[in-house]
Amino acid sequence: MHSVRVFFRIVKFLFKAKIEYPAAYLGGIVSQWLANGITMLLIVLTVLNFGTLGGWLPMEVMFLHSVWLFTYAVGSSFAYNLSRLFRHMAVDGTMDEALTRPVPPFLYLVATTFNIGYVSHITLAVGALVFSMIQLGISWAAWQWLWFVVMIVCGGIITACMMLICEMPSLRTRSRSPVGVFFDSGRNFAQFPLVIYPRVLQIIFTTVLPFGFVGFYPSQVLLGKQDGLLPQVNMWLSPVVAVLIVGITALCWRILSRRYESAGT
Amino acid sequence: MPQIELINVSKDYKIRKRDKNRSWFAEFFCPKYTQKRAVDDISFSIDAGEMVGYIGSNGAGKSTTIKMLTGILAPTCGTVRVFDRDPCKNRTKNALSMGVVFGQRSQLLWDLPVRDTFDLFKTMYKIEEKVFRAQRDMLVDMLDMEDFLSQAVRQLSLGQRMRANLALCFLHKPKVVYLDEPTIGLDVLVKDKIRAFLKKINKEQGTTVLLTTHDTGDIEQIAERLILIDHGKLLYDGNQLGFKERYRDTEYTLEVTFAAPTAPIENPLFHLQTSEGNTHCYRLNHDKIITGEAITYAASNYSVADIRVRESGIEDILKKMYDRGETICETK
Repeated sequence: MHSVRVFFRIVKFLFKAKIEYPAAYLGGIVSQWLANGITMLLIVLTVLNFGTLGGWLPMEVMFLHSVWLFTYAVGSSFAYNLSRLFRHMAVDGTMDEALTRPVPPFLYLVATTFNIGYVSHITLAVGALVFSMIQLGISWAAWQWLWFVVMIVCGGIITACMMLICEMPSLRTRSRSPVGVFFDSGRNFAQFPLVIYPRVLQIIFTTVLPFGFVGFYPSQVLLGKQDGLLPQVNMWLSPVVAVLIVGITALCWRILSRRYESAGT
Repeated sequence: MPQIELINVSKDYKIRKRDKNRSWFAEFFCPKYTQKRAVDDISFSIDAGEMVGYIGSNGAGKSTTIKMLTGILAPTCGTVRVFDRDPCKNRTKNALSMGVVFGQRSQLLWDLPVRDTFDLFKTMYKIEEKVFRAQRDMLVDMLDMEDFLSQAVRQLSLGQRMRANLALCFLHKPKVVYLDEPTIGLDVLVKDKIRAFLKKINKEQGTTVLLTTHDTGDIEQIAERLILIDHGKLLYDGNQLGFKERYRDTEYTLEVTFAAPTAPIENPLFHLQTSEGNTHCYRLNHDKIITGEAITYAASNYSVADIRVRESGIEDILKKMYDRGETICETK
């Protein structure tokens, strides 16, 4: 409980620090709206021209893309800055600082590197979600709303953990992780229905790089779709994958932080 | 029961061994590594309320020792105990009772006023509101911080930031404080303020202070006990007076200002070092001529306007020890 209180306290001060420069903060939000909004518009317009994408209607694609953007923003808020910091941690003393605080070091690092700039992605994704849901005439029961929340939370967790696992080796190598590219490239595949890719890629994004569970599979429950690999099973597996990947992340952190060697002062 | 205890502690680092005769191909695909011993079989203990100066040249192993005491690094062999606990296994628990300042690193929130970092530490270190207010006000007063408490950290001078970092370190009333070069880069006034503060808080709150520094002024004014290490080995552990007595240089300097331009003193015991105008500096040896005799000799044989004697300080002693790479001294 104490750790959670410290986490929110640190985030509160990060927000306070961010709004010390209101123009830069608001400017950043607007530019992200424009950049991501244009990408989303291009995708929807392209699908409108083709009619469907792998059997998915333009508004269904927009729904999926919004879920992808939403979960990416949630995960990145917690993990983006930290994943980029791994390679500098030993040199700039961030890790030493975390190890001398009366809270778990990982939590301290996540808190102090929390990125509140992703509010732009989240607001845009929510707007696009609402629009696509209205267009699709969606009317969900209570359990489906609950599943929607589970999908966003699990998607955020999977995204954050994938980002951290791919960049964590740089804690040891002290340079950009060579496997970081798997996250950067892999996550982009997940913004479209997996069914449009060859079977081998579908298998990869369901197993090794489980980006399919970020949006595609859990969205099938809400949109009543059943395509891709083993849809009846996979569409419910997001929470299981999230728990598994949290365990893998914790294990990687444990191994690498135990081998941590501080730099000279 | 000592608060800090190190028993036969060593720490090795794995470092890349580069051989200029090997090809880059071999270096790339088959790198070789070697072990470097940063701390070598060190043992000492520190009781509650002690103020200890932990000194040594660059790369002697001071910071590595501090990092083992704070739980950042685990020793390769030996036992480290702080509050009778293994600092690596009880890092979070120990953190509540210790403070640490790495002189070249700040723990302040860069864009926010110092006051906000104080508030954050209050939550992080579970400090009760009443205790927090009393301790904060006392620290602000002792370190003369009232003027910049509401100022953003980015707008503070180095000295102000260091004072704020020190205040943070003592905010939760730690039992032990590790200060790694806390006066680095500061002007004499700020240094004095910090030294006075450390002495006062040690006296009033009984905080144990382990201080590493290259500034002998810090040591002479703050630390009663000295621990000297070099190349990872413990060279001396004892009080400051004992250190000076034991390693006092047998040589001293006599600075003679003559009333008029004069040729150098003709005496084989007087070794001229420098000469500027009417002032000459001579190196003499205590074993051959004591200070009183030297002064009498100069004053009675020459027309002297002024004479000054300069004995070796800790800095001179250390300089010679580092130069000679001595591995001397019995420990406490």
